[in-house]
Amino acid sequence: MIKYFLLFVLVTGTCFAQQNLKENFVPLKSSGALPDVFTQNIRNVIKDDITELNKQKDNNKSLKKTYLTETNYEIEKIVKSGNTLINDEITTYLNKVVDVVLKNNQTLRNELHVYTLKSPVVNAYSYDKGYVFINVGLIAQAETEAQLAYILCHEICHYTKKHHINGYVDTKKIERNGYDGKNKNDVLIEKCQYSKEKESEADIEGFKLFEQTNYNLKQAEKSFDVLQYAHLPFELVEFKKSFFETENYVIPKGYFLKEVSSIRNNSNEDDTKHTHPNTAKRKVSIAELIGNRDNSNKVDYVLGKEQFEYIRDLARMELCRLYLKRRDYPNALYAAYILANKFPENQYVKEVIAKCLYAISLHGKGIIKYDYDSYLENGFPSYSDIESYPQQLYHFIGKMPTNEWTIMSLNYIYRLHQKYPSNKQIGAYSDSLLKLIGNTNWGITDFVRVKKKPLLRDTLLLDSINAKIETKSKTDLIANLQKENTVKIEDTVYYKDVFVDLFMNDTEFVSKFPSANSLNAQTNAGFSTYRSRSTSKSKNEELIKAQAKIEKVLLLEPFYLKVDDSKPEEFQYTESDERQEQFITTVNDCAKKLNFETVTLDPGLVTASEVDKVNDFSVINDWFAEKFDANDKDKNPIFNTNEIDNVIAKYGTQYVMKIGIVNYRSKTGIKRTYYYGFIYDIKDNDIVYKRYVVYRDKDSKDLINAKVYQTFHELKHSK
Amino acid sequence: MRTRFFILAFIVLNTIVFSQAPGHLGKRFSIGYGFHTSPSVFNANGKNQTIIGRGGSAESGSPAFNAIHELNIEFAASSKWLTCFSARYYKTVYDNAESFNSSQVSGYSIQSSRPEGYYDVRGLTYTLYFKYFGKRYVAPWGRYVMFGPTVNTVKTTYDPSEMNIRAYKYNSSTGTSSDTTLAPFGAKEQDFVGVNLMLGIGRSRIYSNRIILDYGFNIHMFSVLSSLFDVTGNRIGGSPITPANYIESTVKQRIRGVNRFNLFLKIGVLLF
Repeated sequence: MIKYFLLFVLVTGTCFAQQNLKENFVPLKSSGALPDVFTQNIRNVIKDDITELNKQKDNNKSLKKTYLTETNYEIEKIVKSGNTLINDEITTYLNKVVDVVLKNNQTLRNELHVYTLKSPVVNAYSYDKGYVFINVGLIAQAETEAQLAYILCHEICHYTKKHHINGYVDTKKIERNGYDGKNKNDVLIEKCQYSKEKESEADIEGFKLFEQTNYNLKQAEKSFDVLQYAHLPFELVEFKKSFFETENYVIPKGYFLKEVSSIRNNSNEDDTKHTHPNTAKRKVSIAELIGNRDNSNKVDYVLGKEQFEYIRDLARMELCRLYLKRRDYPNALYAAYILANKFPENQYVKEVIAKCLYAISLHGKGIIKYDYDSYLENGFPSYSDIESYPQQLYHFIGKMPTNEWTIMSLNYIYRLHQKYPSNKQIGAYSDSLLKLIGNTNWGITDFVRVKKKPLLRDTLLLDSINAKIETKSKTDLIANLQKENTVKIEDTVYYKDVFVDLFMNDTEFVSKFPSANSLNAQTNAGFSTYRSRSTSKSKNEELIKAQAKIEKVLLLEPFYLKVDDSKPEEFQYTESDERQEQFITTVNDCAKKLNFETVTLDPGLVTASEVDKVNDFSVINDWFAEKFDANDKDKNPIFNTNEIDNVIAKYGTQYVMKIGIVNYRSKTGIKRTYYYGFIYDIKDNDIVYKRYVVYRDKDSKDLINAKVYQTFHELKHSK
Repeated sequence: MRTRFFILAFIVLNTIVFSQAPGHLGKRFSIGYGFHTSPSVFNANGKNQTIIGRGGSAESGSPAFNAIHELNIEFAASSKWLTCFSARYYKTVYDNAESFNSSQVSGYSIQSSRPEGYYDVRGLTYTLYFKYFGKRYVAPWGRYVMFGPTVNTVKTTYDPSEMNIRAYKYNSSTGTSSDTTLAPFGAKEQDFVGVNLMLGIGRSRIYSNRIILDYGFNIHMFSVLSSLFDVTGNRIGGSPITPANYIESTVKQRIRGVNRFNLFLKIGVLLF
């Protein structure tokens, strides 16, 4: 009893301990007791589900058994991914909204498990087992509590109408039967049509549920606008260059568009190949339902506007971090810019801006790269692909030369460093930018170190020239380009006063600022200390041996995947799950035999009270998500590092091990077994050990034992 | 003296690399039994049978195989190297397929230049060998190549009532000839020693972290190189076979045949 009371106090205490967003923001964390999905044996759950299914008369038992296996693993994967928030402020709030919606249906309420998913995508999902996931991106975009309520109603109806399981069965049937005499396109259209019907049904049934509440019915219709404009930032705020300007630093207007593009209305787009009806249709359908219904005394907020806005601000703050994780710096910068208008003294927001400025500088210098493995596959989007106010920022990023961007970034970040001298990261970015300037040796002698008259003439000259660049005739363009060449010589003038006050008053800045002849070799020292390793690499093996003594590692969710083309789909799940359990035992046994200390961080191996481990797993997982957002993974700088230091201190090691086996068997009997064991230094952003081997063989126990033992032995005997 | 040398070499080689040895889950030392077999190709079989038929001086085309039994000890000296020692034993016969130079038996009229019967051969081969495991494997698990010097010791025995030469003895006083048997092959027990170089390729698997199953093949280099002589029936060195050196000459050919190429299957136990 006391235990439950304490748990209640803990959970409610968390709910009431609001963050002071005017000053700072602490990334969202799970809290309280972990739900059953963390502790239950999934194979038993599947077994129970199938037993229950067998009791029913059903013609699609075989398909549904596969569905139950796949879905249970899918839900487990999502919940344990480190991206699902449990008992945090946003999830607690969402559950309160569900309480409001289902206040007259407690049975249904008890069947639901509503969680927040740390994803910037504007979306929500529900599963047949009552799991509803609402993305942070969606909450950040919602305009009112009522809109959130309607979206929840929509998802709840997907559950009550069993859309997920029926959709799975019917889609499989379409696939099985559909290809006879039809081309793939027809099958796709048929599947989309089916999906759209279910979505429309959820819209209508969701509305019926929604109208039983006291929420403003019009907000149901407006919620589709949120989805319609999900590609735009959560607010549209004019991007002003003055944000980065200081007394002695005025950015030329030429880097900015005179006017930004309008927002395209594609609400009535062709939805033939979409899983959802277009928003125009959905809005019409809901508008018809609203019709002449009495909407008086209905409200936008039941729980309160203040609370909603606070929760939304939390989501927006978190969104900045999620953009950083995806290395989507322009989006993160714009989001932080919006938040900076509302919370000008929020340290977290300023830090996000600093990170973005710094990252864009590194991108300009070619240190940060994107490739086909990146979320931003083609790098930063062109401003011409962006609509409305954010277009200004993308134009600015695209037009300002890298060296000038570096100066602007340093101007912002160094002053932030002055304000928050104990913030190591900001200090490191500032030092790194100074070194970048030193490395290029660019403009160093141009900077004014003693104050003199303002450089209005120079700025005006540049503005007048840049203003003409927008003209489109060929000859004008050529003439302007010629003038631009002259400007490039002169344009060093507009920023040469930027640091004058720092030169005059800040001894640290003066001491760190590079001299004209001090060409630094390292460009990003003090921030990302990636060192090249001697790598032994062949077609079937890759090895980096540990150079430093490693005595303890954090074992991050040992992985096992077994794929057998000759066996049913569900085999992959159950067999992989069983093998993973054995593999974890093997890994720990091998480490133990060699007296090598490991701490396993695996959301699949926690007790209900170990929410901290889930949070720590999430922090490290975020770190890896950012690191792996490119093919050249070893060199990616990491910006989501704020909480890493705490994890390192807590577990007493900066080394994180990822270890796993992937086994594949084709229908023709071709066998491949892939073994990998990597160790990353999450403090210095470095890979310190890497062993990757491919075998044309089955995943026999002796193979696994030998390789895992070898890995730990090599670590144990590293110098 | 020889045995002492092998033991000393074994200890020294292992001591050098001892600190690097991981073994399988820490177990480095194993003992095992191995069975080697070779198809009788070039008059290698005791009964002079051959798997390909009519080879060399074969009399029968029946398939036939040699069999060797082995005891071995192996030590994982590093993650790539195993240092091993084995003793292989085989017991066979030589059925006197070769002919000797009949003119060398004076005073007798030789009825057949091939001795009757057979002689027994007991061989013991000591090998100090090393297994080197492939890049992706960890000793003692995985694919490997092996090599090492071998010492072949052979003891032959014959029974004169079985192995002999039928001849006519001419009695000058009576002017008649009588049948008789001769056994001018030297001592009934003879020992021979030879050296060779063993090379092999194999694969070992480990079950229950304890049982090693090892399979592959090996060859003895000098035996392989001398195959041409054995096939054509030419003797190495070219000196003719006489009854006095009959066993010495033929047993070497026999040993080469046994050791030339062998498939093997070994089972071992990882001790510690």
